[in-house]
Amino acid sequence: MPVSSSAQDISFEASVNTNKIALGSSLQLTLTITGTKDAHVELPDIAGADSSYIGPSTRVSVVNGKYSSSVAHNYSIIPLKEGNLKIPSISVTVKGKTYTTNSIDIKVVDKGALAGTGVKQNQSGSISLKDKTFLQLEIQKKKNYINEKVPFVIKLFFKDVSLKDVQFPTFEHTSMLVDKFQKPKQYQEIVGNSQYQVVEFKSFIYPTRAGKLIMGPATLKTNILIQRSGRRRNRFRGLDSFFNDDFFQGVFGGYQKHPVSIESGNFEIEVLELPRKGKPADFSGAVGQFNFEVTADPLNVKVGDPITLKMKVHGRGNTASIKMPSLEAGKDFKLYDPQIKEKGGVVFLEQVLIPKHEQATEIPDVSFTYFDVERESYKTITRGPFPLIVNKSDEESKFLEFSDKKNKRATEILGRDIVFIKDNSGSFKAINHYLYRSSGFIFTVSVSFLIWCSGLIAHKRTHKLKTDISYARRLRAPKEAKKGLSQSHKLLMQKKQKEFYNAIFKTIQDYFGNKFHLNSVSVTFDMVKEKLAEKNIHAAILSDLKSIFDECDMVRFASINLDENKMKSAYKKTQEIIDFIERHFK
Amino acid sequence: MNIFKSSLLFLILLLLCRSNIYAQNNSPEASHLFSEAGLEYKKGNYEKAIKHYESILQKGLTNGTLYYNSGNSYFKYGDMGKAILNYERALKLMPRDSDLHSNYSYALSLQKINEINFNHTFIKRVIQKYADQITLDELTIALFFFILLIGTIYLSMLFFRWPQKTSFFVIAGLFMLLCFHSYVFALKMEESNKLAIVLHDADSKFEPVEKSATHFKLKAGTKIKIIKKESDWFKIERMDGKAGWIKVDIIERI
Repeated sequence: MPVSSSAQDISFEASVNTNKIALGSSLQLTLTITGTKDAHVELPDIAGADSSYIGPSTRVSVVNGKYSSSVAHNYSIIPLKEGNLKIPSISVTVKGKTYTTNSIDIKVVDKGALAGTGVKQNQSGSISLKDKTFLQLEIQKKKNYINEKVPFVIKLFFKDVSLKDVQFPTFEHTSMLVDKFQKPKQYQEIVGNSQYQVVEFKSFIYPTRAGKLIMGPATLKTNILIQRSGRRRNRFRGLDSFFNDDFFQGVFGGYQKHPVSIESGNFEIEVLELPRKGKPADFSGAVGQFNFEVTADPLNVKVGDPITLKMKVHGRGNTASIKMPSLEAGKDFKLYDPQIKEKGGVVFLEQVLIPKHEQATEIPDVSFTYFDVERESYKTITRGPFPLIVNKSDEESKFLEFSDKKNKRATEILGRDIVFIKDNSGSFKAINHYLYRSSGFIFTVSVSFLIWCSGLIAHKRTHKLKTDISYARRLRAPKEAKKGLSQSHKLLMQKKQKEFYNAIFKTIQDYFGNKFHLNSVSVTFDMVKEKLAEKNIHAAILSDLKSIFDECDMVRFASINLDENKMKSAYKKTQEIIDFIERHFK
Repeated sequence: MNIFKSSLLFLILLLLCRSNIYAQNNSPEASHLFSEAGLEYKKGNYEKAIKHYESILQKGLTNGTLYYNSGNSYFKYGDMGKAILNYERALKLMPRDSDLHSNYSYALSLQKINEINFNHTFIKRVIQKYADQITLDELTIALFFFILLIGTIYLSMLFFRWPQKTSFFVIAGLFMLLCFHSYVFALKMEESNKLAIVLHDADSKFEPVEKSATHFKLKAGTKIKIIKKESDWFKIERMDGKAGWIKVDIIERI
């Protein structure tokens, strides 16, 4: 039943796919504008309904040669309460002209009424979509103690709607701790005279403060499934049932999700302080109802052997508030840090102790104290003492250090520290001063080397002197010549002619014999001349030498007398020759 | 005769020089600073102790004990990089001190560093172990001693007619010792130039550029070998052979 207004070729229509709809369904509103593509269509807010834009579709038609195009804007409208829903008139302006649709009236009924089950509705006002669901927070016990494990439940009720993506409820919980929710349960319950579907969330709170505490309100977020009214017409008649299945409807648009947030009311509880009267000294805060068990094993050991003490606390109550008792270190036992762990609401403790001597006859008793909520009083459970047999250890009763993997200390080596500083600085030396670089050392090395070299040379010399005779003689020549000359001189002074010339002759013979490694006794002028000739000697020297030789021969063999001058010149010449040879021949 | 005279002259000069070397031996200020540092350490003022030890070092004086005490002070103070650096310096001067070894091992273990050896063949490792037991100066003296012995035996062979065969045997043996110790000497010389300690935990990069990617991490106290220098970056090599670049202020030579 389209209602339209048109001028020339442009027209603007509003239509719905149904005028009667059930609460929990959605209807489709279509705004069609024909004759122009430039229109900007906007849907205003509709009171009492949620609207969402689905999308546009265009259609072009040629009728009798006339070309016309239309754009249809589709909206999904979800009525929120039963009654009359009015879709207001909507206007659009195109090229200065305004086109308006008429308003549309929709009748919204409660599904229950539509279904005709005869269930009476509340007359206190119209039922809204929200009335289909509500949230309830409940605590059984109104009076609780601090740290007590208090159970509570949050229930979600819903009727005549389908819910999808139900989330866990959240709520304010100051001054209390909350456990995680257990797996939710679903069932049906009758409230008033209606039957509701219920989803139940259970958990526990632990009040941390005394006084009146407010819990909640709780909030739960979920999606309500809104059914789209008017099945899509499809050409595949035969496969209707197949395509009309919920799944396909969900995919192809049979349902849509409408998110809602449901709130519950508050809940007030009263939290009491634990009574001071009768509170034992060793009470450490455990609240609930518990059992306490202790074992110790082995009970027949040698001094230094480990004993494992195991404790277990289990029951109903706040396991987080449990503080396990532990033994006090005494003179009888060496204790190691206990290992505590919690699993499945049971707290386990393991501690290793070592008897220090044979007089440790028993492991002392251990007590666990808790506050029993039901009986509203403190209760202490004591276990032990455990009688013990401790034998002497095999070696001298040394106290053995026990290292068990379970009791590994944080540091790798027990009580290690660095060795203390040294008090005596000793003598300082220059930084980067190394011996091999120090001048003193270099000197020492050089000097030692020199000494060694000189030693070597000295030895070489003596060795040469010993082995090389000609060398030795050559060295001796001048010395002996000097001796010979001085003796000759003496004889000269004494004017002993024959002896003088003998001496001179011997001196020359010895000298040249030594010098040229000849047999001294058989030295003749010719031999000397030969040797000297090799060395390119001055002619004068040779003649001088010859005259001396001749003179010596004359006196010695021919007994010719020569005067003093002759003797003197002979002496002088000899001296000069020897000097000369010495200077020029080595 | 000339040579003997001149060598005698040298000896006298030498004796004069020797006295110079030990002139700085008894610097009273250094000893005073040392005692002061010790007192501060005992009181638990490790920072002050460190300052005193540094003052002695600034005078240009040091010895093994100084580095050892300094290392202890840094250790207690908490600067593990500097502590290990000082221990390494102390080891160069007193390599056989058991207290030093104990503290050095402990410091390394706290930094979770294994004792590092850059040598990969077994023989080199053994030689390195031996080299670590003696100081450079002791080695110098040993080398000199070997040479001296060889020279003396040789001369004795000449002068006193020692049996040639045995003498040569002994000389050959001493010569081998000499060669071995020369190698050790060269080893110590090489490592003293190139080895350094990482002062703070640092990242070693692929390139000498700030933004370069990190190749591997270095913990304070790790010993590394310096390969080359480029502006303010060092190329270093870790014991496992990995090479990377770090800023010059991260490390300090031993």
